[in-house]
Amino acid sequence: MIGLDHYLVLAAALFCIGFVGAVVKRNAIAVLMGVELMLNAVNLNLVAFDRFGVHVVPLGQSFAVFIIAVAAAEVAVALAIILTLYRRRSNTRVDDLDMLKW
Amino acid sequence: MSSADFLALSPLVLAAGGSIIVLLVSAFAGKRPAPSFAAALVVLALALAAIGLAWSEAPRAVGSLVKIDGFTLFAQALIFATAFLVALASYRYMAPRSGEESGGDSGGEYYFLLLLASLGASILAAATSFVTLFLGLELLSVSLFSLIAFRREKTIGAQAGFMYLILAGASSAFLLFGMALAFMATGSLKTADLAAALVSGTPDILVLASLGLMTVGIGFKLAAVPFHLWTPEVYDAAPTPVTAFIATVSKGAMAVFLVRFFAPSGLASAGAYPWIFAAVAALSMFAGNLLALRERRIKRILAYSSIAHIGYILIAIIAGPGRAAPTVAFYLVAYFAASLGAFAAISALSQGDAEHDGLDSYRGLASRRPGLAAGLALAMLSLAGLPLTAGFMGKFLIFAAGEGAFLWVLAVLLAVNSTISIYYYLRVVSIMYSPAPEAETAAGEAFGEAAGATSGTPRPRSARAFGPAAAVVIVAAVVVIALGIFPGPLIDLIRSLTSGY
Repeated sequence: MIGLDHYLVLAAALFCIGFVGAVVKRNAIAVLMGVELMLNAVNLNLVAFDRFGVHVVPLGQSFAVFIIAVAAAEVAVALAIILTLYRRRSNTRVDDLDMLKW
Repeated sequence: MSSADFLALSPLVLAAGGSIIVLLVSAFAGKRPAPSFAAALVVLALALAAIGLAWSEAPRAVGSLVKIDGFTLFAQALIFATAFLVALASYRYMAPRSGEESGGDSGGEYYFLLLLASLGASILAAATSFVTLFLGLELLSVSLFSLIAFRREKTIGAQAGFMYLILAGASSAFLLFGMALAFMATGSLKTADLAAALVSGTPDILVLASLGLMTVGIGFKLAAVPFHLWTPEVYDAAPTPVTAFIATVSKGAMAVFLVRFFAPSGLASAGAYPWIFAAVAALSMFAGNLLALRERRIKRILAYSSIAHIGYILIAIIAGPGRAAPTVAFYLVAYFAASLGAFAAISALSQGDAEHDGLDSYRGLASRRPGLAAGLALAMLSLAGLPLTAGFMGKFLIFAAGEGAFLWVLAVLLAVNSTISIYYYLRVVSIMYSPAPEAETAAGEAFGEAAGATSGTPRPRSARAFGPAAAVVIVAAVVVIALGIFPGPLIDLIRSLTSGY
């Protein structure tokens, strides 16, 4: 039987994978995907708490919808910035952003 | 929602609706930024006026999401006034520069983003729920990504915008993970319930883990020490008025949220948690001031100085009920005024094609632009906390609050750090007032003014004429001196507004 613990472990694992991806990856798109993975781990947590908790109002699910919407806005801006950078240097490697210490 | 709820929220409603109007104006205004600039100023002025309307309803909790009280309204007024001044300082700085293709757009969206960012900060200052905390924070952050990367012809701006985006995204993921754990532990999304769970007896491991994770997210936004690495890079690469906005509004709103989270719950005197903040405060003060000593570029100096100032503010935040809110409110006014003065002066100097950033380009500034030099010097003296400036009164109040709360060590560290910081602030002042050698004067002229000087055509007069940014420098200077000499009225006002804390 799959219980709350399984969801928590999965969410924690997803969060860590996302964090490592965001720190280690050298491609701007992959870094962005790492951040999105972290946000989705949170969503998984919230929805699981709603399912297994004793709360009457589905607060967690509604919060998750907010997070999804905000994450979409963030990705839109991020892709626009990546596109600007790509037009200037025709690649999306993070370590080529050498003017700033990454 | 009743009509009283709408009245209490009227500043937020006006800013939200007004930002859409500004966006429409910028879409229909063709290539001129002036209409959107004017519309944004009108909206911000209206939002400021609406604070008075909301005051008649305060204190009022709207649902469980926001609570409008005296302290919140004070913070919102400060945020909108600061955004107004930042917009003024931006006008010439963000105008299309000679020899640049503007790509057919007016740049009016800049003012839309500025409005949206101040709306996010105002929501953050009113939040009593994790949902509003997250929404306000992200509204602020997402607008800031675009603002930092706004000058598309500069690669470094886009790079800094992307770096800020990734770090802000990751840190809000930490914040959200903490919120999810708090939701599991307390079954509620109210911040007060989390604080209550912490204060009552021995909090369980979930509550502690959630606070630890949330501290990461909050620390990033404040640029407190373990999470401060982005500050100098972003400050340096962002357009100067945007840097002013990040330094003031973005950090101030988070500080206000922290006060509202800590002070009423008595969390400041519960368990080990205040000590974590005390350690962060001490580290931020020392790291900010010591790293600033080596810098040779003024925006990076101000970046490190802002890290140190967050350390000072954290001392006031953990000073506990009755002390935190009034002290932080006064300090924010003093710090906002001095920072705005400094960044507006830099913006006014950088209206040519070249950015006025290296300290060497400030040599002999006092003889070239005496007014701006005096304004910048005054801002530096106030940031250093010398007597007769607002900064001195702010630091004095923090010292008194820390001492009253038996935070002796932190109060002493504050005094030590103020002394260290005087060195680098006064270095800027002394460079401005030292005479420049003849050859360097000419080079400085060419560097500071428009490209006209180098390409042989006469300098445009507007580069020297009195502009809106110079007006902001004057306003900031007046506030700094007035608060330094007559702090009484403002302190009384703040005390009456924050009586609930």
